[in-house]
Amino acid sequence: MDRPEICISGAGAISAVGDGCAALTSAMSGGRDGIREIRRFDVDGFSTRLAALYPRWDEGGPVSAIWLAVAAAREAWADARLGSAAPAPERIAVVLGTCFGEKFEGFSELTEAVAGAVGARGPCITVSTACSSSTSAVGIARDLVEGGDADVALAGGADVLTREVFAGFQALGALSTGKCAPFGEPPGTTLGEGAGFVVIEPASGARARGLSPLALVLGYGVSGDAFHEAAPDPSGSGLARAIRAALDDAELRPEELDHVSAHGTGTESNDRAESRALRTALGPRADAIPVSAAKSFLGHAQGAAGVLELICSLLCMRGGAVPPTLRCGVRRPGMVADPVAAERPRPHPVERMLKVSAAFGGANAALVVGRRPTPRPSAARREVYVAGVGAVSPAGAGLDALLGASSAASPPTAQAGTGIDALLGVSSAASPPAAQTGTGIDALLGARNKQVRLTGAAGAFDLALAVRAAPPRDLDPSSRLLAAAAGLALADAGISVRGAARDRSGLFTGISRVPWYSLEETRRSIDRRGIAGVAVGPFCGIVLNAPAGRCARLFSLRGPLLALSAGRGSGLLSILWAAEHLSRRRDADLLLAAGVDELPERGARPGQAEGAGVAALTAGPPERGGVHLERWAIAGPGAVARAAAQALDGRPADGALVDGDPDLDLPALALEPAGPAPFGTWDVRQLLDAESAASAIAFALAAMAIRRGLARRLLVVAAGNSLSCAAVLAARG
Amino acid sequence: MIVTDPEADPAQIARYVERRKEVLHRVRRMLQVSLGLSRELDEIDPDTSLFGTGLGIDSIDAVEVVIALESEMHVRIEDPLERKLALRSVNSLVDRILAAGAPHGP
Amino acid sequence: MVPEPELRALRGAAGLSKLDHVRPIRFRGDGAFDLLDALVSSRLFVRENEMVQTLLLDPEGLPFADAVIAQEEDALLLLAEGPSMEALLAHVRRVKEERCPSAAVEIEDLSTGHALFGVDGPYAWEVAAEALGPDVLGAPYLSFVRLLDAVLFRAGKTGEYGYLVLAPSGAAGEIWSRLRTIGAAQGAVEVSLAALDHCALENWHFSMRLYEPVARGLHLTPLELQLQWRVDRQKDFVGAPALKARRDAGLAGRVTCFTAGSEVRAGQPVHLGDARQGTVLEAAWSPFREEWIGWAYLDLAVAWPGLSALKVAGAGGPVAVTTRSPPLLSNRSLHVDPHRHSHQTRDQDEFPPLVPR
Repeated sequence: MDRPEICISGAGAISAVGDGCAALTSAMSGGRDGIREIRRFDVDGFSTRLAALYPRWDEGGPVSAIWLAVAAAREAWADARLGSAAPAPERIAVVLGTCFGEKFEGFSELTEAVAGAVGARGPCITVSTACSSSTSAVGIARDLVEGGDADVALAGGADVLTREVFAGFQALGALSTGKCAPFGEPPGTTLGEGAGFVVIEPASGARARGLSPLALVLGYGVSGDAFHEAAPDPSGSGLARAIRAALDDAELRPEELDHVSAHGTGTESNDRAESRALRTALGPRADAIPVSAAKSFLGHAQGAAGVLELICSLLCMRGGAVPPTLRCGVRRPGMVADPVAAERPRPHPVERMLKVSAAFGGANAALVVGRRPTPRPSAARREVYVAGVGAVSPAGAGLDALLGASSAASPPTAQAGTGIDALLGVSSAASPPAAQTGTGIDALLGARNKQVRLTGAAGAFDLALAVRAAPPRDLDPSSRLLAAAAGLALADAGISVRGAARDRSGLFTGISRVPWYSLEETRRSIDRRGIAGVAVGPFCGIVLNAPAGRCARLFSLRGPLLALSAGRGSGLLSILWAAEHLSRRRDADLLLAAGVDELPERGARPGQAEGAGVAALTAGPPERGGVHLERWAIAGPGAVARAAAQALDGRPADGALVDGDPDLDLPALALEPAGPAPFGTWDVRQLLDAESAASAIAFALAAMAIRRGLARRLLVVAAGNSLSCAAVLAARG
Repeated sequence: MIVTDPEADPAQIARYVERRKEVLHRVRRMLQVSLGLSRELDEIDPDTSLFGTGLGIDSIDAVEVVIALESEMHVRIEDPLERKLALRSVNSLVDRILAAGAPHGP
Repeated sequence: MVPEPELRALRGAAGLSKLDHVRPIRFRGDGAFDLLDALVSSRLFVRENEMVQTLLLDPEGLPFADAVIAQEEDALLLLAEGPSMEALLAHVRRVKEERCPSAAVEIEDLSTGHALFGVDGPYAWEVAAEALGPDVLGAPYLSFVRLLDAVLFRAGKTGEYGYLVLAPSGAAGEIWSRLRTIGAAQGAVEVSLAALDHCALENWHFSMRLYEPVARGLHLTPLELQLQWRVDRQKDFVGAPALKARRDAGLAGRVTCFTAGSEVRAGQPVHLGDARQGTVLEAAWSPFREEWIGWAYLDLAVAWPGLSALKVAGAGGPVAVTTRSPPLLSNRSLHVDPHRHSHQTRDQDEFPPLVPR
């Protein structure tokens, strides 16, 4: 049976050329870009005064990503004309890509606001992989709909341009002194802002309403560079991998592509790496088809760039044309042969096109969309296993430390020997606390009082325990937590990623807040040295996928790289999304999936804990050990019982580990013991309160419990304001 | 680069050396902080190269160093070639700061 | 005296060299990392297709070999200069016995089956790319790429673009001849080890041959040699205790770069007035700076750039020297951009002067 056709049935855009898709069409037809002199904030002393800002906010205004996102989302929603055919709210998902969220604070809140505006109550997922965020958002939305987690999804991105971000790019030397000229002269990019959304649904649904879809989403690919923080791998090999993954997903050959919408920022390093990547992935086809760079119109709209540029191409495609790349008068040497150097759209029929996005920290994404479907047989889903787990917490590095942390003042619990008590509260007066050996998970020893909660900063640990040779420069706290937990997970799994396996090993991170230390250092540098003195190292660290990017570099992981945010439960979301990826695709064999929380030095919640939890997931059973990740489900906020029921699929579980939703009525799940003794249900927040990491740690503990024979099947659940997710882990065999 | 008098007596030399030591200390600290080096200050030898070999900094780090040089040492280098040469080693940074006649600082 | 045409080629075009003195050894197995970690002074943080520059010290903390370690897919490659292959292997085996006897390591001497060549100079990238393939151009510093029949490492000690080519014996002859032919059209000539070491001296690159015999005679460790960037203070490795002891005792002196108007030679004493302050370690005539250059080991009180009161007791009387901040040249390679420049256009392209003002 073939995979269902998933289409784009509506689009909405708010950009530097004005409101609506109509403004995009009009601007492209008229050869008018949205790049103007900045009047909204002071740019004295900067090398350029140009940016592509939303025109209504040229002089000032409620510069708000939420505002832009909601406006674009509403247009897309209306454009899709769902009306009474709209599915139940809990079957409508929202996937939003953003670099900086709402004022660096609200990430999942931004997505939830869009959901509220269109009445969606399905899962809200925020993707933050810097400049490739909205391209990935479209791909993830497609996967959600195809996988049956939603009937309709709204996918897109939004970002505003702030003076701090402008200063950061300026300091990196990325800005052009004039209007950006992708593939041309002078090199450099122009920053912008905006929001764009597309409505994603099964093509059959759109056609049933008499709608002719804008396009079908045929393929999606994602990869990492593991090269450098803010410069793309010059060989373009990472981007080429993402393109190939998208083509494989679409079951298309390069010869079947008619057009490329490039990332095309205009910087020398991007354009060169991208040209190379296109040639590597598409062969001679790269120089035979038109490659447009819509940033020449809209500037670099950051998190909204991918979706807005895709919409530009779709709008032109509808009219049998491709967008021009403005100001490409003198093509730089080595660039693709046909960058559509023109002032107006060029008539050129497009059946299938490629959208490419690259990003800071090397997270690349590619989409293949087209007007005609290709037969894509459904492939069997691969089974996913948890090969290893690792964690860092206020108790230090390792799940041992977490479990072994004892409170001398509290007496050992009365019960011992089975279930969660065995995992957490085994007390044996005769046994001394376990010696910390540093790698892997040792037999559980030592008394741990279930009532003792871990709070505050992560306990001191030596990174060298988890990472063979620590890098010569200090890592920021988030990256350090993630690296330690990831290293421990790999050691626990007995996996050493080498050679060709690196291209097939990736890292998904669940993270809800901007890495605090990086943001603080960025702000302090501006306070101390003025806006032109912004510290570029910390600046590169304030995108949500920075820790993932840094860890991917540390472990040389060049496979899929994603940073997802969903508030509470982000860790479990990233684990389940990694499982989904491994299960349905063939471009990766190992995915590390994590939840990480950095404790802010100021403004922490009372009792907040710092930490990271990582699961090493493999497609197919590992050689030894391994716990089967049987089923999982992702649903809207408040739908945790449904998600749990879906994951359990009628089969009994010994118990459950839960993060979030104190009202979750677990007895209603009718847990029945599958093993020798009941495991019980347990709220991980009794152990630690960490928005993203707690659910990942709960997952890790569940895997441990099964490995130790304390249960045969366990349910892990996380619930928050963005979504609910549930997974069932089972013993092998 | 500042070159002291060939007839300088040991006391003059000692004063010059003290001045260099002080600036060297400040440069080491500036590099340690702005580059996040996990090294003690005295592990950063004065002739250590900044790029490629030595500290192995990249172009992003270089931006950091230039900004720190301006904001903390109050030394601004307009000419790109001069900047490139000033950033070749720890000592070349010290030379540049001394040449700018930077005042004594904390 | 190093032939001037060789130096001019290295600084203006490219120099091709046979690197028979570099010892390649491959380490495979789960214990390879730990063994190399015990052998070398630096933190062994090296990712696939990358290299680190490091040192092997003897138990007294003195440099035994100058090396790079490259991380291959499944193995670690050591490229070391200084000792003979025999002595190096003996050292490695001894350290294995003492420190990680049960480590699973395969140690493979690659010298019999391979040859090593060097390509150095501001246009070395052009010669290498034409001879070996365009992937050369994308290789960042301290990385390596596998080409059809060889491995190309981007390192270099001259201050110019520098590449090391490891070729299997079967292909070596052909590769060398290809380099020579293509090089000839681009002004590249064969250069001697002495020429490479001269450039190393001008650019303040450590070389085992610049260390012998005077610096070694003075028992200078990486601390005095200003090579702490290659040393990990926390790690335990061969020579670490000796370094710690030296550090605890306090350093008496440090190596310093100098220039001089007349000839000075290795071993000659350096004075300030009547007081002995140090010794010349090595010196050479630089045709670029048109003066003598070198490095000396000086008492800490005067081991600082910018002093011109020091004198070397030369053969023909005292020679005034000026201490400097190296490197002594504004290498052409700093300004050559492979995406814009070419050896063909080098006369039209404008570059800053080789000797900075």
